[in-house]
Amino acid sequence: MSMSTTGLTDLKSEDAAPGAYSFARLMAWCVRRELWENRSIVIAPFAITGLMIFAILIPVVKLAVGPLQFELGADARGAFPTDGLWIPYAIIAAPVLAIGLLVAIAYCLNALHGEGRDRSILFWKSLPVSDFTTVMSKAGVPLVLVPLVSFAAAVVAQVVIFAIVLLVFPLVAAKAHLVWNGMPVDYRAMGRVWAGVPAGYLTLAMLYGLFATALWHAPIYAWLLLVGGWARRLVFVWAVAPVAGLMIFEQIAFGTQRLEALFEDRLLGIGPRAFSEMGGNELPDLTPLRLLSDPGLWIGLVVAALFLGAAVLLRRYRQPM
Amino acid sequence: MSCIKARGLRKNFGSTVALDGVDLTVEKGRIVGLIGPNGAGKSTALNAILGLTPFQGELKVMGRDPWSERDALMLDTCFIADVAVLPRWMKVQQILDYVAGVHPAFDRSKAEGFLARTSINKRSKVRQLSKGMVTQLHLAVAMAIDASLLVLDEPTLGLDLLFRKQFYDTLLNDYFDHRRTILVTTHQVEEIEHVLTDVIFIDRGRIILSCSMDDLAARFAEVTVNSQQAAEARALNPIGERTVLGRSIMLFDGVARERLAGLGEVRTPTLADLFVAMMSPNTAKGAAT
Repeated sequence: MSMSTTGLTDLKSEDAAPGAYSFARLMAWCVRRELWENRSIVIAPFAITGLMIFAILIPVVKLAVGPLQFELGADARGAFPTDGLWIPYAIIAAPVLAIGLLVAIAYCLNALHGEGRDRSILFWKSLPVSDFTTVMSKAGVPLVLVPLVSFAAAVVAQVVIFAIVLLVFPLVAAKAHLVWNGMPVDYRAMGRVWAGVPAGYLTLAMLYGLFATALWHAPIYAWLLLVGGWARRLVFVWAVAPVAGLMIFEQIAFGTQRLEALFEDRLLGIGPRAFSEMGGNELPDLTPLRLLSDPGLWIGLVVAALFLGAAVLLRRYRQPM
Repeated sequence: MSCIKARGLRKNFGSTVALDGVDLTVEKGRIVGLIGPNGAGKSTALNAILGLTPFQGELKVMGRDPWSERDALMLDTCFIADVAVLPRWMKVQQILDYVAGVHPAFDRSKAEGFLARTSINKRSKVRQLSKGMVTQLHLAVAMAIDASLLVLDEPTLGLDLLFRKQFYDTLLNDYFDHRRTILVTTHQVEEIEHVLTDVIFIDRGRIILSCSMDDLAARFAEVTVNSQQAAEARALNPIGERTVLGRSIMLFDGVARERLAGLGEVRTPTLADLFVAMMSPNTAKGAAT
């Protein structure tokens, strides 16, 4: 909160109004304001990763304190499996992405709706912050803030999971040593655990995947923000009903499902664009060039910009309810 | 440069005319009451002045077009629109942080000084405060902004008498300094009567009176007419007449006091009486505040 004392307070202005603060400063405060109002943006991703860690902890603890249940095949002795060790880390990605999407959708539905409903828009508008800055700060939440927080939650989760593995591994090894009649413990296997986890790749892929998804979903978020600002009640219904209605109309009138396919692709289609195909235990490659050369991404961003522009105008013209 | 200058200000909502060619000038350093019945166009006028609604005609506030320059205008204009529009989820502390963050003319220590005189806890959320406290908080924030124009729209609606009195006392003692301009609308005319330097009556989208309180005392007179002189008094075209305890009380516009002195007891009318007399008959029926 060191920014809270402005240093401009002893301004000796007689008639001339002081200059406005920079766009960057206003954005920073507006985004901070959004975080104060919507603490679930931070809490939800960390809560879900916490839950995942807890879930992973249960079999790990069983392994550490329970009886050894390894099948003792001839080749298995002394060789712990190090293949696919990245899976527990990567598994974090799916729930983090999902909860991020949920948080972002819930946020967008209410972001421009709530301030009109409780009339607090009259307070916000009494401050020298433009409608453009306000709408941009609200669009920044699903597009920048949610991916960043999700990323932070995923990194923390990965570090914790790795720490758990590092702690449990020697325990299991020592126990194997005792149980299997002095079987030599291959502590070098520890090194293989390290090697088996492509930590750099996983971190980068998570960051890339989160932002690629957010950009791909940008038109959805912008639409929800716009409808939230427009609809006086039942925002979710107003957001979904026109889309669903058009789909049904198309199905009946033309017997086709192009709109539905388009929507499904917009919701779920980021995977094959941002990553190469995933096979077995192989990690997929990042394909940013394929994503950036996909016209769907750019069309989506243009549509998002149009929706956000409409939301700015709407906020400007709209009288509080 | 006048603080507010409007020429032919018009605003329609569909076929309803909210502002019907308003001409208005508010000079700097005045405390102006904008008074009118419900639906007279007060809020629409304020919304136009604050850049919250588009309008037709000419309007300059602090030399700016409020509609196209709202965010710049808000650097030296401040408003409290209605009671209880502070976001209920926000902590007092957060409101101070945020306003300090975005408003270059906000003096945080000043706001904290005002708050220290109230029983508001800075860690409270707005939703935990009483209506009166929310108003105190909003006023503390508004007064800590070094603005040239402060607009108050029904700032004390629904508050008890103590809070209302304190509100205007604070405004006069701690804020107003003849460099600032205050524009206030309220239904509680009696309470702001002694605070105002100027008064504007608005009815059906038109300004029907705009004058300083000094001029008002010179121009209008209220006479408790002796019963035998009623006809004589009516010949002077009173703008309003009412009967209290069997005696006629008439209100005159621009009739010399010496002329009226012979008719009965003469005094300066209260704003409320003047308001009732000047409202068009249709609106006056339901709007005597």
